[in-house]
Parts: sequence; structure tokens; C-alpha cells
Amino acid sequence: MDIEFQNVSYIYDANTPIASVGLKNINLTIKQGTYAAIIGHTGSGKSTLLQHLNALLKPTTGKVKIEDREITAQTNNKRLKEIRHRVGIVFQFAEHQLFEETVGKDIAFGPQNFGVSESDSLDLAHQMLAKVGLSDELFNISPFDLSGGQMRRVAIAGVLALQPEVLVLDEPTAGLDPQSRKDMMALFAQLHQEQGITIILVTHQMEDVANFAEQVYVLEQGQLIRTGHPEDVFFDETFIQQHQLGVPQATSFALSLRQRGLKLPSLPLTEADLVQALTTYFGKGSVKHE
Amino acid sequence: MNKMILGRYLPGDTWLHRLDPRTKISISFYFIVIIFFANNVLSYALLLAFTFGVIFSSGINQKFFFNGVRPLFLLILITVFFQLFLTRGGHIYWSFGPFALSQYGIRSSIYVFLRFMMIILMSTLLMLTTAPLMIADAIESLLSPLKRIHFPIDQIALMISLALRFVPTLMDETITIMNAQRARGVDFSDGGLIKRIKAMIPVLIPLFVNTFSRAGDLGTAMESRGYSGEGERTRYRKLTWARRDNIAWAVMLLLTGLLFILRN
Ligand SMILES: Nc1ncnc2c1ncn2[C@@H]1O[C@H](COP(=O)(O)OP(=O)(O)OP(=O)(O)O)[C@@H](O)[C@H]1O
Ligand SMILES: [Mg+2]
Repeated sequence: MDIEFQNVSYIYDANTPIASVGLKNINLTIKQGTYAAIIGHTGSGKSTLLQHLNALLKPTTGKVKIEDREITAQTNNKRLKEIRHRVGIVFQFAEHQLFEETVGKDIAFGPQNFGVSESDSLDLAHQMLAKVGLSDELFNISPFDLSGGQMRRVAIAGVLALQPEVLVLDEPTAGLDPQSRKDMMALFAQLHQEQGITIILVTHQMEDVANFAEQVYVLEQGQLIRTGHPEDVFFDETFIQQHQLGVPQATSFALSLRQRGLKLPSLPLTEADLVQALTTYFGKGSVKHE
Repeated sequence: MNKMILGRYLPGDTWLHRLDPRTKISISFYFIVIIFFANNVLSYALLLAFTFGVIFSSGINQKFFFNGVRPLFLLILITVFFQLFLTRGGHIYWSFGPFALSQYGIRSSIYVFLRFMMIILMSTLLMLTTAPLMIADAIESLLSPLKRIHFPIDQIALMISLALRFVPTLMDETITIMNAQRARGVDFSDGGLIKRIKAMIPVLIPLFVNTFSRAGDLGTAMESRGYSGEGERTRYRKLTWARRDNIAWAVMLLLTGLLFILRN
């Protein structure tokens, strides 16, 4: 399902002396099946935007279209459940939402709320636990006995168990070790490729954007200042400098090579691109990179 | 939940902000005490006029203020309801079993309502215009005579300031966790009372767990920076008593005088 923002603004504590702007006049469309990344500095409105994707927040002005449902400030709180079933959100620090007696029950909690039977939801929970790379032995222990990283994985499994069509991820790998990070990113990519799930990822890791995203949205102080393919955004040096954004390591490596006089033909986005560019430059033809 | 202003501080520069926090706290308590001396229409009218006078002259955004305290009035109305139907005396207009609508019942429920209302308005105003740390400092300063009997004022003041400091954090966290559970299909506004209470379990458990672990971390962080609870505390912010604080107390004494003239 397509998601469209039309002139969306959101003001926290509207009409009070402590009102503050969360989003300002956002227009964007995220097509079904896209892998989208949202980047921007701390406090730029990324999490605020995410919460509009399943009507946890409703725009102060403007409207959000989720397939054929229109969400505006006037939208009633009832009948939002269907949207929440189809759009799953993994929150920042998702491990803080665990509460059940056992890992398995916690993962099964979401599906049960949406009407899946107890035994089916527990089956789902077993599957999802395996998907996020945790052993089935953890199924019957308390989530509070797990490490922080394991808790994060359980929380992610709890959202995957909803089997959403759109998966929204708010810095899902922040604070994980490098291997877990890789595993999780690979899992999301797999869901995207095999099941055509729309992925909307908020991240500070530009490598993840370069490796996976098809579309990047850049936020600054609540405004959408740029939309485009990762190359369009990261190769625009003046734009990157102006807004003090980071670029993927491969790109920044190539840029510093260029500064020292190496005339690379094209800029790389990923490690593989970089190797390709270097081998071309040094005239070895196209060596296959493993 | 978003509109709650209980425990919130609004920075500003009104005369109420500038009053010494000790003045504000002691006057608030003093006011709560003298409210109980009001016993007729005139004395209540006087106190009401005073309360609204302070609110209107404080320069605080009125719409925000009254919208914010509105949820608390629901609580009062429940109390008043019992007062109304369980008090007997004077002319009885209607009765059924233990319930009755009587002349005294009506009068005393109105008085109870007004008392609660004034207490809530004044204490909200105090919290809104006084930074949490100032409140803690003021309590410490006001209680300092108890040090002579070895009452652990410093520790208590620290506890109060930590508690006040974490009220907004806890509010924000509640909202975040509620949103995370909403995203997993919990509907907090659906069903009867029992169902709604049940829906809070997935919010309360993480909230408790996080609060305990945060408290543990905070304790470790404080100890690793050398906090031991002993030793005299020195301070950077000094409370200063100014002329306006004397004036504030003079007004209070005047109010008390008038109150005792008007009551019967
Ligand atoms: N509950 C809230 N009440 C009031 N203001 C808020 C609230 N949540 C966020 N804000 C404000 O809205 C703005 C955007 O916040 P948001 O959480 O969307 O940023 P973010 O881009 O997700 O940042 P981060 O990278 O730190 O997660 C910030 O200025 C923030 O202070
Ligand atoms: Mg965020």
C-alpha cells in the first residue's frame, strides 16, 4: 500500500505556551514495496514522522493517506486498528516495550490483539524467534533475563509477528554489536526482497542507507529538505556540506582520494563500488570482488 | 495525557516566578490552612477573589492553565457527589435509602468543591511558576531547623529533587510505551472498565522495570562520582529574601484579617 503525506504539519502541545514544531509542511509519497531511508540530525523530526505512518499521531494540519484511508486532525480514534495491523513500527529502544512473563508470550501478544488464535500466535512466535536469530530455548524464559541486544531482537520479533505489509524501523540497530547489526539489516533486506514488504528505516548509519535504500528522505528542523536516490543525495557535495550530513565510508574514502589528486572516474556508494572504481582506475579491468 | 500540566514547570519572568520559592511554598500551605476557616458566602467569596486575582495577575496563559487543571476537577466532582447525597440536615428535597438531597448537603458540597478547587488551582500555580530544583531547595531550607534533632534533611531534599526531576521523564516514557503497545494492537480507549485496566498492564510493567533500572543506574552514577550522603552541602544558587517577599506575606496577613472579620 502506498503512503502519501500532503502538506503535513505537526505541532506538539498545540495551542499552549509550550507548543513546539515537530513537522512542517511535509509532502512525500512512499510507494508500495520501496526500501526508504529517513535521515537527519537529532531532533529533526524523524520519529515524529514515523508515528504518522500508522496514525499514532494525527497531523495538526494537512493529511496522511495510507492506501485509501485519509488521516487528518479530525479522524476518529476508532477503526485505526486495521492500519496498525498493516503498518508495523519498531520503536527506538524497542526493548522497553517488553512486558510478558515469557519471550514467546511477548512475541505472540501483537498477533493476539489482532485476532489471531492463541496457538497460531505461539506458532508464529516460534518462527519469528528463529527469524531474528535467537535460539528456541529462550522461548519460555522471562524477557527481563535477556541481554539488551537479545531484548531488542525479541521486540523486533514481536513486530514482525504482526506480519505487516509496511515495516517501519526507528534506529533498529542502534547500540547493537556489529554482527547483530549485520544480521538484522540482512533480515530486513530479505523481508523486502522475498515478500515485497515496504521498509521505512530511520538511521544514522549512512552505510545502511547506501547498501539498502532505494529512496532517501532528508529531514531538518521538521522540514523535508531533500528526496532522492542515495547517489543523488550523497554525491551532492555542496548539499552535504551545507547541512553537515555524513556520507557512507566508501564515498568519503573516495572523496579524500580525489582531494589528493586521484582522478576516480565515478564516486562509489558502497564498498563493492569502491573496489570496482579503484580497479578500473588502476587499469586492471573489472576484477570480481568477493 | 498530553494536556496534563500537573507537575510541569513553565519558565517565565512574572512576579510569581520572581518570588522566593520559600515564600511561595509557605504561603501555599498557609493558604490551604486558612481555607478551612471560611464558613459563609462572604468568606468564600473573599478567598475565591484572592485565588482568581493571583491567577489573573500572574500573567500565565489562562487558557492553557484552565484546560490543564480540568481533568483534576473530575476527581473533585466524585468527592462532591458523595458529600451531596450522604449529608443530611435542613430541608430534605428528596431521599432514597441512605441517599438524600438536603439543604445542608447542597451547601456543604458546594463548599467542599470550592475548597478543593482553590487548593488545586493554587498548588498548580506554584508548580507552574517554580523550577523543581527551587522547590527542593526551598523545602530543604524551610525544614532546616529539624536538623537539630538529626532529621536527615539533606537526603530528603535530594530525594525530593530527584523525584521532581523525573516526573516529566516518566510522563514522556509513559507516552512512548503506550504508543509502542498501540502499534501492537492495544486499544486503550476501547471496552469497559476492566478491559481498560487490563490494557494498562503492558504499559505499567515496562514502566516499573525501566524506572527501577534507571534508579539503579542513577545510584551507581552518583556513587561513582563520590556521593555518600554525608558531609555538608554547599550550593551555587542562593535563595534571597527580597522586599517583594515581605509584601507577599503582608498581603496574606491582611487577607487573614479580612477573613476573620467576614466569617461567622
Ligand atoms: N513528546 C514530545 N513533546 C514535545 N516535543 C517533542 C516531543 N517529542 C519530540 N518533540 C520535539 O519534536 C522535535 C522532533 O523530535 P523527534 O523525536 O521526531 O526527532 P528525531 O529526528 O527522531 O531525533 P533522534 O535522532 O534524536 O531520535 C524535537 O525538537 C523534539 O524536541
Ligand atoms: Mg527519534
